Amino acid sequence: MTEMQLRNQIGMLLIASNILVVASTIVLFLLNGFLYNEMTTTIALVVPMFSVYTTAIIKSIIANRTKTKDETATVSHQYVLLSWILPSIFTIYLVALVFLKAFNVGFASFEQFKGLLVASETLFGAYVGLIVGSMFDIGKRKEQS
Amino acid sequence: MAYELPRWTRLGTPDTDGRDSSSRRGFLFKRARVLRIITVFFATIFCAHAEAEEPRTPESPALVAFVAWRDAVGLTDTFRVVSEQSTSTKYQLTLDAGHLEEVIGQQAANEIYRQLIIKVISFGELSPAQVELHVLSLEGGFCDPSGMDNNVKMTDGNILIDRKLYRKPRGIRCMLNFEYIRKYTNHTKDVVGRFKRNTSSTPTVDTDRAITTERIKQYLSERYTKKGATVTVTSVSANWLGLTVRRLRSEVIGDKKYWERLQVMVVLEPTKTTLRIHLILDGRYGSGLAPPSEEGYSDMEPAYTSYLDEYGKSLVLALGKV
Repeated sequence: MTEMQLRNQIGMLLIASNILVVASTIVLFLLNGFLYNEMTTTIALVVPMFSVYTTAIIKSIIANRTKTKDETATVSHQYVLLSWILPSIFTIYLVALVFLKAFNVGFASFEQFKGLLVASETLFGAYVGLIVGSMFDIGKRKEQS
Repeated sequence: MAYELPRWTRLGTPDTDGRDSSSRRGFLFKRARVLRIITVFFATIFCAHAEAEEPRTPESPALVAFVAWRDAVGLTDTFRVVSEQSTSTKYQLTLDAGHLEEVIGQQAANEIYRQLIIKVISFGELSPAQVELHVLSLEGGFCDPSGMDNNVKMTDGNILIDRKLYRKPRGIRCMLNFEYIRKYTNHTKDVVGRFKRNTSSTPTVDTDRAITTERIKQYLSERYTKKGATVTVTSVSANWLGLTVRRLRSEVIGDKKYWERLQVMVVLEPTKTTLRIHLILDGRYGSGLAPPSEEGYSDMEPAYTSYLDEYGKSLVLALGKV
């Protein structure tokens, strides 16, 4: 798999994940899984987690809009695997947290849920940021050269 | 702190006759310094209530819930927690109301104290005989007030307030910052006004039927069990019934599918010709596709006070026909 292909896939995955988590929260709110202020707080916490990555991804897509030929190098299997696993686990984890709170499983109060959500950002942020950063920084360097 | 500290102005008497006497200046300077020390000392006493911080001791769930409710209804600056004592047979909470009685009057303050003890009983899920609320207040002006201890108790459905002097005036003279007092007075009046609007009343109904707490217990248990809720009777006597309803849905807040937790307390008061039923209702709500845990509920006051009020009135009418 080439770097450009992987970049496009991971980019789409993260954008879709952002939409999925926000949409899940809204749907669960409509089903009375969250109070209004709980729903807005959840979205306010989740969106910035993804926006760091999605902003870089969208910028890259816009910058490479005229590039149709794939001239990027082939990447290793380990890199592909890691690039897929970390963002996927991050997304599944966030969606699971949202559902667990909506079903009042594992959380005694909304404050506990909020605390874990913030802690997750620290936990996963560094790793996901490293992967996404490496991909989109490389892309940027190539464009400049 | 809610208010700015009093700003102490120049205390010496101005030299009005224009004499340039060094001995007179020295005398005035010394006098001003002494007065300043005295004033700062008493200013500290005056501001002690405003600056006092609440104790950071481990708090019981009842106190945590009480403080959350107090803050939600805007009484944070008005009632400060002084101490909490809890044994297996008694729960005692002491609050400091500062100059509240001075500002809104004794009778209006007593009304608030009555609402406070109901909340303490409700949050503690205790029998009323076990709960004692002490509200410390200051009486006799803003300069050198005496300290009063209002011991609020609920016995046989009646709330009694026993006032005792716990601190005599110290016999001191002080300078007052009237701007500070004006701000404090206006703020307290605003807070009390908002509190009255944001808290539900205690509805009553008179009936000529021979109703017992046992009949009411059966009626309420049936009523809520039919709706899928669980009912726990916390205390019952000849004229008092206390029960907690959990896992209730859309009962009080009809237009939202929230989980509700109700604390229902019924007091039977026989009058000369009829029986008066008092209903004390406290409600909490929470979200979720499954019922939340105890900590997952929020108080219905002030967000849903009107719903709680309306529901209380309809429930007490139903109890009158049991």
